[in-house]
Amino acid sequence: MIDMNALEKILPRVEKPARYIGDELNSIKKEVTEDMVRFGFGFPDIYEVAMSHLGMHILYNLLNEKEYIYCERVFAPWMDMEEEMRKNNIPLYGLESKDSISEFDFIGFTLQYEMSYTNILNMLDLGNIPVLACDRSEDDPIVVAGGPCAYNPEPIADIMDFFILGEGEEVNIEFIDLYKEYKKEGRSRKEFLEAVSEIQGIYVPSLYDVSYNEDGTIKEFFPKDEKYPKKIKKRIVTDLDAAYFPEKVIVPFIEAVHDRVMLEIFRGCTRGCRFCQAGMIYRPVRERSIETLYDLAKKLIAVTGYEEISLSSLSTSDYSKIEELVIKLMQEFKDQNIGLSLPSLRIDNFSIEVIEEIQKVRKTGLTFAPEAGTQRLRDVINKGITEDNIIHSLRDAFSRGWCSVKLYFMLGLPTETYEDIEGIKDLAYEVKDEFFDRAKEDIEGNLKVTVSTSCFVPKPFTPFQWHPQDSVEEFDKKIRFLKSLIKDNKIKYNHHDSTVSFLEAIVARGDRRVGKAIVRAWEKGCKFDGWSEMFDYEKWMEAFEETGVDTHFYANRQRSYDEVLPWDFIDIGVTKEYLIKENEKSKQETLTQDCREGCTNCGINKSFTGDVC
Amino acid sequence: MKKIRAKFTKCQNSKYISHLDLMRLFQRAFRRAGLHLKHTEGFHPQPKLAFATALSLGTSSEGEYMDVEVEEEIGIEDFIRDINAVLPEGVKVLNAEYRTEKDSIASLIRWGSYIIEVTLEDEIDREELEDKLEEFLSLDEIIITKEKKKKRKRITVEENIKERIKNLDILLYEDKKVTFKTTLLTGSNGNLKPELMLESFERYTNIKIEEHATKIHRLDLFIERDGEIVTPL
Repeated sequence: MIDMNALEKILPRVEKPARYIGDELNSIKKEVTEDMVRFGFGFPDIYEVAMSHLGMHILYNLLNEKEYIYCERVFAPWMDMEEEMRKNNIPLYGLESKDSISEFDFIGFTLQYEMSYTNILNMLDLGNIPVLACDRSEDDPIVVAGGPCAYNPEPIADIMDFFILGEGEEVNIEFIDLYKEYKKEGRSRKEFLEAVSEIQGIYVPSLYDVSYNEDGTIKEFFPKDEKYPKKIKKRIVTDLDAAYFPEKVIVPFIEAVHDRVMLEIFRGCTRGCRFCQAGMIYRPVRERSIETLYDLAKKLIAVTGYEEISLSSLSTSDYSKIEELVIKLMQEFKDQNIGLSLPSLRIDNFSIEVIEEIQKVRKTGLTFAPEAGTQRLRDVINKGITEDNIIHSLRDAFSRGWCSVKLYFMLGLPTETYEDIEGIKDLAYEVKDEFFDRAKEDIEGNLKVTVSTSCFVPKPFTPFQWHPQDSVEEFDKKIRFLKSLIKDNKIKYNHHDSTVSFLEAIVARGDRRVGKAIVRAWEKGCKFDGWSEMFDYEKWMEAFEETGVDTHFYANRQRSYDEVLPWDFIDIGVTKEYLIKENEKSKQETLTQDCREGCTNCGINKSFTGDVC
Repeated sequence: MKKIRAKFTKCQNSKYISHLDLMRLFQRAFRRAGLHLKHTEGFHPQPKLAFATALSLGTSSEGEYMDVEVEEEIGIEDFIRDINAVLPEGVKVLNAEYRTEKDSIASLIRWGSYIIEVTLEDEIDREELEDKLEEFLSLDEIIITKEKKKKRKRITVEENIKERIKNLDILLYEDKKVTFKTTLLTGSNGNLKPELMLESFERYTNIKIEEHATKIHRLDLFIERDGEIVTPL
């Protein structure tokens, strides 16, 4: 155990000490035994963010249900705490046991966004664990990672001992069981890594090598020995209704970002927006039944006392019986003053009446994500939402008293012109006209339209994975242009920082060579890159230069279909042919139907679900 | 009105929970216990739950108080048992009573008593320490300066805190560690934080206290009834 007296002394000096103490309601403490496998669930961000992550709650409880596994939480300390820990020689510790993470068998990081990678390095370092896999010895923990960003594992291939691709409910137990056996038999780390590579969904980067062409593209990605699998196929849980879901979750002492019961109602998405990685990697769609969800909601409220339930999924309103589910939950919980939130709701296909029911007391804003300003560009990205959809929903909403509207767009989508950007302004103004275009006595409240733009980052495993990203200069020009068009005190314009998106684009489609720059950036002091006040663009650019990484090669280059992409060896079920077909259709501005209306042959049902979805 | 006044502890790790977080903690605990609280009317119904005073982050206590209004009458023993069954470690209801008075607990509190453990930077005689303490307490006025914001301007104000220190005694002195017991003005009608009292003690006596080694524990809160100082329950 770490020096608890030293901890006790530093806690009063740091902001929100409750981030670092554990012992919350429903947290799990175990007595450590010799043959126990100790697993640190690492979330590379602060406590409040980490505790809002549903995947952590699922795996934490799932692993701890096995008496021979002790899963603890390991989060990134904020700057003030890190400084105190380093000054007082307190290593990074598990929140449950307060043991240094160097004593664990595994540290498993979840990769939710690329901008958290430097925090992973920093956390390992704070735990006295070598940051590079090749420097770790038999006594060091095995460092693994999973989550959405693991679908391009290459930028952090030198850091991880292995990656877990896809859903973790089954595979985590499988590799821990294997490890337990190997540990008992006294086998080496290398032997274990070789053995674990045979489990579906596991990628051990040290067993593979990459060669490059003269132009810097990848020549070949190959296993060092024929016995290692050539393709790594992701894992899915076939029957979500039967899959594990925790019946109790930790209730933080301090307020987390999402501080409520999170009910995962389904996985996957059928819409096929061409920029969206989640829409591809989480296929196929699988739902939990209303009965299961209702039962879970009651149990979770009883053990947490939370005042809110949120329905979690991609595009929540696509749940096949969403209205029935919402009404059933409302009926059960309304009298107990428990609210319901649907954070990922597409209003264009959802009854405003039901929303009104949910938000009976508080009319919070309505959010739409048209993503692009013109129908032409929305067709390019296959965002099946029309201006009519939006205006129609808003007319209904305005007449029921709503007056705050948020509109989300992306700049820099493939084929975008300045006309498309003007379209963003036009849409915002049309929303405004719709609000005021009524009899005076019908107008309620004070209209507030918020337009937000982010900068498009092409992601692996999307139809746009071959596209160049706009340069920072181009983004900034577009932002200035849009800013100059919006001149109305009812309409507010926010935009993302283009330099962060540029960095994201480099890392998201990076290869093993980019990893060197990530390590260098961390050595130069970069961390919490996702926090705007901490992001240091200059340092990152220096890091790329010093490690000889051409940033434009990764972010701004058009790739050809026959180029070997760093993530090509991963099989997500959706085929490359499908992604190419979709990219070609985007050039024709042709829509692809929602696959609930008929199979679009993405390939997932061939390799994963036996012809049905 | 079914108002319950309860005394509770905030010890161990729960001393790191802020006032607002403690409010949330109790609301959720009541829900887990199946005890329905009365809510305010209006657009944002809030449960009728109020604490006596705030406690500094990092200060532990065995004498906190709150008022809660319940929807349905429940036996006091059941109330204590049910809520304690679902509270996290360190937070525990010790005692409770139904109250009919309208006054809020916050408006009644006058005094708070504390145990303060400090480590001195330099060893001094016990006698010298006691002399200096006596000197400190017999000063005509004890002035502290506070930074305040007034109309966006920062101004410093001087305040005499002499009358806010009811007593200050040395309980233990051993190996540079001093344990004080003190009673200080506490509550919404005037308040002296133990940290501020210590600061002025340091300043007036020139006895240096080691930074970051101080532990403060609240023993109880008091109200004044017919000129007498008594606990709220």
